[in-house]
Amino acid sequence: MSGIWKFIARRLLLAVPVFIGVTLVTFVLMHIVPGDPVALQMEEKMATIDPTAARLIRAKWGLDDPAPIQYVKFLRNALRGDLGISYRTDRSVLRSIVERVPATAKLAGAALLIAICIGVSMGVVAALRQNSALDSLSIMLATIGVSMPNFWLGLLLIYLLAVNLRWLPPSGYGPAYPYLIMPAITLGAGLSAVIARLTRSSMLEVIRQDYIRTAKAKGLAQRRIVIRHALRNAAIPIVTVVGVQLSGLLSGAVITERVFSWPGVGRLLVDSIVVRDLPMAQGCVLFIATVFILMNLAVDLSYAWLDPRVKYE
Amino acid sequence: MKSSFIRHLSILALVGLLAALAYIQPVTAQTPVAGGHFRRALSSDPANLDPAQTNTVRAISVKMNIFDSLLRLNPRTLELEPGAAEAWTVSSDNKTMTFRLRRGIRFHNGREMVAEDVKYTIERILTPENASPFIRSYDRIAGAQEFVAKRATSVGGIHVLDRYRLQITNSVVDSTFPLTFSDLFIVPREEVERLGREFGQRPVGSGPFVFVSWSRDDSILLRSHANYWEGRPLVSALEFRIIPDPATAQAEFDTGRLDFMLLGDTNYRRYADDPKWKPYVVEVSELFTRHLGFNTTMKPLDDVRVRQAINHAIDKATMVRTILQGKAITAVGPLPPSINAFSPALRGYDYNPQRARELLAQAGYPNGFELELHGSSSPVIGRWLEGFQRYLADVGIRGKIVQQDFGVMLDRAGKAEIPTWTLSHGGGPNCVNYLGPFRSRNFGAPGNRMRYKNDRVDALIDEAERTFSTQRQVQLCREAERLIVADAPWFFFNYNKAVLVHQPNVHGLVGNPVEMDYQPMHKVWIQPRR
Repeated sequence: MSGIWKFIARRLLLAVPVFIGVTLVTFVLMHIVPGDPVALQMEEKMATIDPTAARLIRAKWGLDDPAPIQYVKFLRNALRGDLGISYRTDRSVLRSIVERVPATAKLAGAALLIAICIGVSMGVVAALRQNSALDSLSIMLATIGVSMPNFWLGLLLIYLLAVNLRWLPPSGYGPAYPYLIMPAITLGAGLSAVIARLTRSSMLEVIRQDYIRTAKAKGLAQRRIVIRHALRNAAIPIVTVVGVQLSGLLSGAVITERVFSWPGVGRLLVDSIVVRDLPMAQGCVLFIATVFILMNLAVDLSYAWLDPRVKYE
Repeated sequence: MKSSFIRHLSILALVGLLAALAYIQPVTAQTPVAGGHFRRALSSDPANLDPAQTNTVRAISVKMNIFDSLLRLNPRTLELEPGAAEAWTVSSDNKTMTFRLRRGIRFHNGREMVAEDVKYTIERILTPENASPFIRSYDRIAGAQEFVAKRATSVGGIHVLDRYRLQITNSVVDSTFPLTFSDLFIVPREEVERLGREFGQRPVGSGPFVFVSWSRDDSILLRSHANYWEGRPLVSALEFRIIPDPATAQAEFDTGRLDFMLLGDTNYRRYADDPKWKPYVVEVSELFTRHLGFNTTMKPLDDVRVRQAINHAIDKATMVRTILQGKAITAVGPLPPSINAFSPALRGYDYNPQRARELLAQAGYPNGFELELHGSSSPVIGRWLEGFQRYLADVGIRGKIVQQDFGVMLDRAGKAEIPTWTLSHGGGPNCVNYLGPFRSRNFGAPGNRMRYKNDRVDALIDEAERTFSTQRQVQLCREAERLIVADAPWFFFNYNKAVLVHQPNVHGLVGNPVEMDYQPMHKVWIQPRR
């Protein structure tokens, strides 16, 4: 087995204790937090609970078993690929999550695309024109982008583009145009600011290197120097941050999903925690852990492509 | 001469006809028009649409359009009226109800509904494996306990007399029993068995709308049922859009993408005071009583004078006018104005800080005390608690606001771990059910989190439960309410005013005090926009 495959196998093997850890922590937290799932399912508004029905619901969900037994049962079923049945919806947890993955992936992908396009170009321009008006403008925009809360930017966009100008629908899930534009901008704005600042500092470091001076001395075109030599070498920290951020986006962007009524994994997780829907919460946490593990692995593997000096052994 | 007369007469007739048409025009504008796609919002996904499962407001708002209930509750009068059953009688001993189903009610799969379907629906709710939250509604039918305990294969108290007639016998005399049938959504056995657990995701009923599709957390689409026994609904498609953020819902409404929306405290005035929207605002005093519950076993709230003092200390009228923007009615007792037992003579507690201080002094707290004021983490509740805190400070009570997850608060209140909690109690259209949280048999999670016990109140509610005479029941409930108000196990805050605003071309929406979201959609229609 070559070095890279061994590396991948080792990393995937290490994922097993991570999975056990996150599910155990979720399980313990959901049990420690006060709030009876049966009571919360039975009456959300009238706040009266029928003891007979509560007893039957408890038995149906296996909540009468001691907590360790409940956890072991969950693990045993999870190993068979069965994440259980949601208390709230009475349907397969796995199916519920899989259904929401396309919406989450579309939003995360679009937001990341916007963030990279804006962030990288703004960062490169700011680095090449250090201390100029353009640089100051990029710092200002990045500060605004990072400081502006998602829900506020989302509502501003809705007010401007949907209510006032009537260019886009205020919310909903559908084709990328027109439904994805506002949520993607809302989610991508903050991330683009982070990427812009990081690209700027990374580029500033790289363009002072000897090999850039050599490239300039050789008479290479500016564009070639920036893209081929500077940006590629400046990309490692950017890729690391983008990878971590993408994991976060794929785990669900709860606030953006809520403002734009976007049916993603984030809303599913929050709704399940509110009503203490343990199987669904466990399933969502497992999904998020998987995304993080795979994204981190992808980021690590990309280092070898970006920097041939990196070897996996 | 003659032709001239005829010509004049013709002109006169024409003028008359035109005048008549001009007069008639506004009337024809109000004539129901068939067709159109109706869009309304739900604050979150209903999760499951099986009538035996979810009892949330959101789920029932959808289910009531897909299924027929055996009886219906008239939203204007709160009286029972025919549903799938066109007639019903109650026996002289007040225990047995006989229902006669309409002929020709068709499930969406084309089969006719029969009495066996009603029996199956009730037995399905009582089947322990189904763990239905509605089990309490039917577990006092004769033979139900044996069925639940698996000592019987069917419920002895349900008799199918013939294809369309059914007799149900209760084991006790309970005047609220007929009401339970307004929530009984009848299901076709063959579809339940065919779909299994999926029935809650792809429901098949006999109601005015047929299930088409469900995109989770996004929308539910229904289409009109061509063979509905009351006639095909006027709108051809009904879409429930899941919009969790109220500000987004408002944007959707303002851009015409929702046909109506419910209003909250923050946007109520914007529409109710706007002459453009005012004609399209529908308001009703909802059957919900907002209150601060008191743990009557915990010092110093175990002293009735302290509880009365808190009721006198808070200026609820000002709070309703300012914090709630007038979207509520100040409460005098637990029973709201929409219920028939509401007593206009009941005065409740006036805002009287001086009297509050006197009561506190009599109870041995002349310098007040510290009190935790618990509520959920919602910003609305936060504003209420700040109001309480401000007024209580005037009489020396040092309130400490504790906001937490709703489930955490409910759990701790049920276990009597906290001194107070902020809740909205809704008990439906009957005063016996409404006063349920004040019965000592409902201690803890079943509703009486206050651990309030007054034997006379128990006896009065018990008697009201056994009384089928509406007039007598109202008297008993009013007397019980008078005693409850005197004992002050709650701070009686306000009755919610439910408000919706609809688009100008929408007709037929009603103010439903049980729940504004429960709209009889088959009677709603949309005037096409010119």
